[in-house]
Amino acid sequence: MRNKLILIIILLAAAFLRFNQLGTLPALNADEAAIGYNAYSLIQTGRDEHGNSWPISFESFNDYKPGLFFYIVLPFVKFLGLNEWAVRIPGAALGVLTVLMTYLLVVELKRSHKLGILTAALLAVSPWHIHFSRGGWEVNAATFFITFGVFAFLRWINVKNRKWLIIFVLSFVASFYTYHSARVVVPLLTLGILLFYRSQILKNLRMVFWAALVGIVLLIPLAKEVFGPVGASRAQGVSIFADPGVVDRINEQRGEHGNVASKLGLLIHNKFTNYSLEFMANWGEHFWGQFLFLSGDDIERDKVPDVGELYLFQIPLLLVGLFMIARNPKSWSIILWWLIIASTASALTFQSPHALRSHNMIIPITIISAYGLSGVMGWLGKFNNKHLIVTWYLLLVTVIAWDFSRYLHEYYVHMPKEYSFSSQYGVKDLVNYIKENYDKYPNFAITDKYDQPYILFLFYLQYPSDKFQKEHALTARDRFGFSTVRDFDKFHFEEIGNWDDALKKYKGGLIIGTDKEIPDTANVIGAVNFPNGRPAFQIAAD
Amino acid sequence: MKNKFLLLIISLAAILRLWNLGEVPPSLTSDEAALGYNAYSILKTGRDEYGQLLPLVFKSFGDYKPGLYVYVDVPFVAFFGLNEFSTRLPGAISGIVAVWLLYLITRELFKDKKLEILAAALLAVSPWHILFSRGAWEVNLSLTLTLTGIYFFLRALRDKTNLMILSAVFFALTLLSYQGAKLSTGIVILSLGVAYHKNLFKFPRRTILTSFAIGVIVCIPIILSIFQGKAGRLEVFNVFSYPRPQEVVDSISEQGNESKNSITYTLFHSEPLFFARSVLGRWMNHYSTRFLVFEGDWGNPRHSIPNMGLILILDGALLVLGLVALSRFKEYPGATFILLWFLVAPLPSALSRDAVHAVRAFNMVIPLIIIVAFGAAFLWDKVMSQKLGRKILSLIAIIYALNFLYFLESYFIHLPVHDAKLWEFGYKEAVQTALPIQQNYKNVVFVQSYDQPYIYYLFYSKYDPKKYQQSAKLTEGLQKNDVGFVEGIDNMRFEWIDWPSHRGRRGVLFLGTPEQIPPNDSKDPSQFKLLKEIKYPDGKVAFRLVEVL
Repeated sequence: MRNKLILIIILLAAAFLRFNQLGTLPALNADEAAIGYNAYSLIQTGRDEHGNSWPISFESFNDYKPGLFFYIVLPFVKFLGLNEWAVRIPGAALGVLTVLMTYLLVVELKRSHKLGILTAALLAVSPWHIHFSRGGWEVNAATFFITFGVFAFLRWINVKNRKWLIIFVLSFVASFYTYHSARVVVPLLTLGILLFYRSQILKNLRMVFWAALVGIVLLIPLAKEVFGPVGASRAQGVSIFADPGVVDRINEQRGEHGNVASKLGLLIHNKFTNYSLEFMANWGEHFWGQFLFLSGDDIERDKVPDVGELYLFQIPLLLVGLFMIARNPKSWSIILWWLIIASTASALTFQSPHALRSHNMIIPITIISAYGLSGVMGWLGKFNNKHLIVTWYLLLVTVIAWDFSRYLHEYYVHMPKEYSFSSQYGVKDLVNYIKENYDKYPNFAITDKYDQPYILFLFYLQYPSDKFQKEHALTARDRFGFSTVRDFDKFHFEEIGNWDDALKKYKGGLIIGTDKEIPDTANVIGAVNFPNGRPAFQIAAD
Repeated sequence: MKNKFLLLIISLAAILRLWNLGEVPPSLTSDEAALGYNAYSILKTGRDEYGQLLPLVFKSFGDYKPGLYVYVDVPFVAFFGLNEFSTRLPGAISGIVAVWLLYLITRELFKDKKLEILAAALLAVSPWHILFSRGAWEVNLSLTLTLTGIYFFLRALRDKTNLMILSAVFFALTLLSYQGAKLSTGIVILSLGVAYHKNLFKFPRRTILTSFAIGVIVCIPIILSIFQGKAGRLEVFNVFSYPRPQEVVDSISEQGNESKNSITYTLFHSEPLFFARSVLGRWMNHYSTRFLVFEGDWGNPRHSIPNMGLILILDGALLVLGLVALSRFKEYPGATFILLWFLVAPLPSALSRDAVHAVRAFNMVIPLIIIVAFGAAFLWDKVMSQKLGRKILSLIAIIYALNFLYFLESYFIHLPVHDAKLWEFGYKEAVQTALPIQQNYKNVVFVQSYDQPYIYYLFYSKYDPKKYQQSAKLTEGLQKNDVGFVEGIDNMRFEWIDWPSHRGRRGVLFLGTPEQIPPNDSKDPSQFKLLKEIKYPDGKVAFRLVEVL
C-alpha cells in the first residue's frame, strides 16, 4: 500500500514535469509539425501531405519517418484539433507510462519494490527522459515499447502466461514501426533475451514458436518496405558509410606505406578495418563523461545548456551500481547487455554521441544508478550512529535537490533563450502576422534558414490538405538526404540571397528573412523576435 | 622457469624500445635537442648553455627544466657522441627498467605469480609506455623513479627496514627530473599512505620522519626554484588561468535576469562551479574510449600514435574485465592502492588547460596496466576452466598479437610519415645544409619559431659550449612567463620572417618554410637563388633555402 502511494506520487511528479507548459516550451519544431500535419491530412483526406494513402512510413521531408507515432497522434488531432498539445500529449503520456513500466520491469527482474520505486523516481526526473518526453519525439514512444516489451517478457518468465509473451512480441514489433534505431537495437536485445533465458525458452518451445511466428508475420509489411527502394534512403543519408572521411583516411594510410599497392597496406587498411574502427569509436563515445554528465548532445535541439544527459550525482551512483553488479552479476545480464547494445544504432551514424538515437540507453542506466542508490542507502543503514545517518542523508538530499533544481533552472530559464535558433521559435507569430496581412500582398517570400518552414506554415495555417497535395512538389535531396517544399499557395520558401534580385523577383510581395539577409536599407515593416530578444525574422516590403 | 619468462619479457621490452631509436620518432623535438645539448655542455664544461655551474634546474628555453635527465644523459653522450640515439637512450633504458620494476612491484602487491608476469609482459608491449620510452621524455624517467620508490616502500613495509629512506630519496628524485612530478608523485605517496595506513601506524615512527626529512632535503633545489619564479609556466598551463569570457557571463546573467549576487547565479552559474565542471570534464576525458582506445591525445597529436589510442582495443576490453576482477577483491591494500592511483592519476592533467594530456597523465599507465593484467588473469582462469580452454586461450593470444601488430605498424610505418611535421622534422637537414656554406654569407636568416631552431643549430653543429656560453642570450617570450627565444648565434640570425619586407635583403641566405618564403614570390632567377628544398617523408616541402642575390 505504501509502495503504491509513493509510486502514484512519483507518477504525478513525472506527469507534472512532462506536461507543464507543454504547448509552448520548447517551440514546435519542423518534425513535430510534420507529425501533426500528416495526421491532420490523413483525417481530412485519407492521404498524407504528399498524397500517399495510409503509409507505413511517412515521406515527409523525403526522410521517410516511421509511421506508428503518427497514428498514435492522429486521434488527438481529431479530437483536440491541429495544435501543439495534440501533437505532444501522446509523447508526454508515453513518457509517464515509461516511468511506470520501468518500475514494473525492475520489480519483475529483481523482485524488489524498493529498487523499482528508486528507478521510477530517477527516471521521472531524468533530464534525458524528460527532454524527449516533451514533444512529438518518435524515439520516446519507441523506448516505451522496448521497455514494455522487456517487462512483458520478464513477466512471462515469472508467470508463463502466453498473454505476456504475445504482448512482448507486439511491443517489440511496435518499436520497429516507431523509430529507426529500434530496428538495430531490438533484434540485438532479442538475441540477448534468447541467450540469457534459453533454458526457459527451450522448455516452452511451442509457445515461443507461435509467438515468434506472429512477430514475423507482423514484420512482413515493414520488411517489404525496408528492402524496397524507400528503405535505403534514410540509412544512406546519415550512416557512417556515407562519411567520405573514412575512405580518405584509407587512401592516406596506404599512401604512407610508400607504395599505394603494398600488400601489407591493402591487408590492414581497408573498408572493413576502418569502418569497424569507426563503428567502435562511435559506440564508445556514448559512454563519454562529457556527453553523459556535463554537456549532453552537440545538437542544440536535443540539449539543455550546461546540463548533461544525466545528473552529476549519478556519477557515484553508477559507479557504486556497477561495482555491486560486478561483485554479484546474477540476473543482471539482460540489463548489462541492453546497456552495451543501446547505442549500436547510433554508432552506425556519423554524429556520435547522439542522445536521440541512443535514447533507449536511459533505461539500463537509470536502473543501474537506482541500484547504486539502493546500495548507498544500504550502507548508510548499517551505521550505528543516528546523527551520522541523518547527516549523510541530508547531504545526499541536498546534492540531489541542487542538481535537480539546476536542471529545471536551465531548462525553463536558459534553454529557450540560449537555443532559440534550434527550435522554431517565432514561426507561429510570423504566421499570425501573415494571416492578418494575407490579402494585402500577392506573394510572400520566406527564408528557409531555420529548417523546414513550409511544414510549420501548413501546421499553423491549418492549410487544407487536399489543396496542398495538388499544388506542391518536393525538391531533390540535399546532401544530407532531405528534401523540402519551395512553393504552395502564395508562399515561396528559399534563402533570400542577393537583395536587389530578391526585390525584382518578389515584386509587390513581402520578403521575410533573418536580420542578416534583410539589409538595413530595406523597407522593414515588421519583425518577430526570439525569446532572448534577438530578431528571428524581419519583414520587408518593397 | 619464471626467470626465463622474465628475461624474455625484458628482452622484448628492450627490442621494442631500442630498435631504430635514433630514426623513429623521425626527428628530435626541440626539448629533446635541448636535453642532449645541455648534457654535451655539462660534459665539456660542467656548465649549462647559459654558463651556470652544474645547475639542478636548467633554464633552457625559459621553461626551467628539472635537470636529472641531463645528468643521466652525460655518460651516454660521452660514450656515443652527441646524436639522437645517445640523447634518447636514458629514456629507453628507463622504459626497460620500468618493466622489471613492475614485475617486482606486482609481486609485492599481490603475491600472484601469474599476475606479475602478465603485468610485466603487458607493460612491455603497452603502446602508451613504448611511445614515451622512445624519446627523451623526462616524464618517463620520473615514472621509473616513482616505481623504484614504490618498490622500496613496499619492501620497507614488509621487512620493516630502513629501505624507507631509499624510497623517499627516489620519490624526491622524481621532482628533479620532471616539472609535473610535484603533483603526480604526491598522488602516488598519498595513495600509498591511504592504502597502507594500517601498516604505517605500526611502522617505526623515527624511520618515517627521517625518510621524510631526507626526501625534503633532496628536493630543496626544486622547492627553492618555485620561489625564484622559475615555475612561472604553471600559470600558462593552469586551467584556472582561463575563466569564461565576459560575454558568456553577461549572456547568462542577461537570459535569466540574474545579477552576479543573486541566489540562482551563485548556485547554478558561479565561477567556482564553472571551474569544477571544467576539471571534472577533463578528468573524465582521460577515461574516455576516445582518449584511451581510438584517438589518443587529441589536443596534442605528437603525444599519440596515428589512428589509434594509447592502449590496444583489447586492452580496453581487458581493462573492464580487470575492474570486475578487482571489485571482487576484499580488504587488500594492494587493490586499494591501484584503484586509488588509477582514479587520481589524471589529476595533474585535469587541472591543466588541455582537454586531455597524455604526458601529464602518463603515470596512469601503471595502474591501468596492472588492472589490464588482472583482466587477463581473470580471463585466463575463466577460459582454462572450459573444456577447450587451451585452444580458446591460444586463439585469444593470436588476436591480441594481431592487435599489437596493428600498433607496431602504426608506430613504425605511419608515425614517421604521418607525424613528421609534429616531430619537427627537417631541422636536422636544414642545419646540416646551411653549416658548410654559412661562412659564404653576411647573414643567414633562419626562421624563428616555437620549435626553437637555435637548439638544432647548436645540437647538429656540435657548437662549442664554452663559446656559446659567452654569447647566450634568451629574449623575453611573447607572453609573460612563457618560453623565450634566441635571436642569433654568430652570423646565424633567428627571425620571424616577413617575406614582403625581407625579400630585398641582398647577400642573405634565408631558411624558412614555404609559407614564409612563398615559392611564387621567390622565383625570379635574377633576384633569388633556390639552393635546396628540404622535404618531409611524404614529399611536402618542409624548408626552403633561398639566397637573395
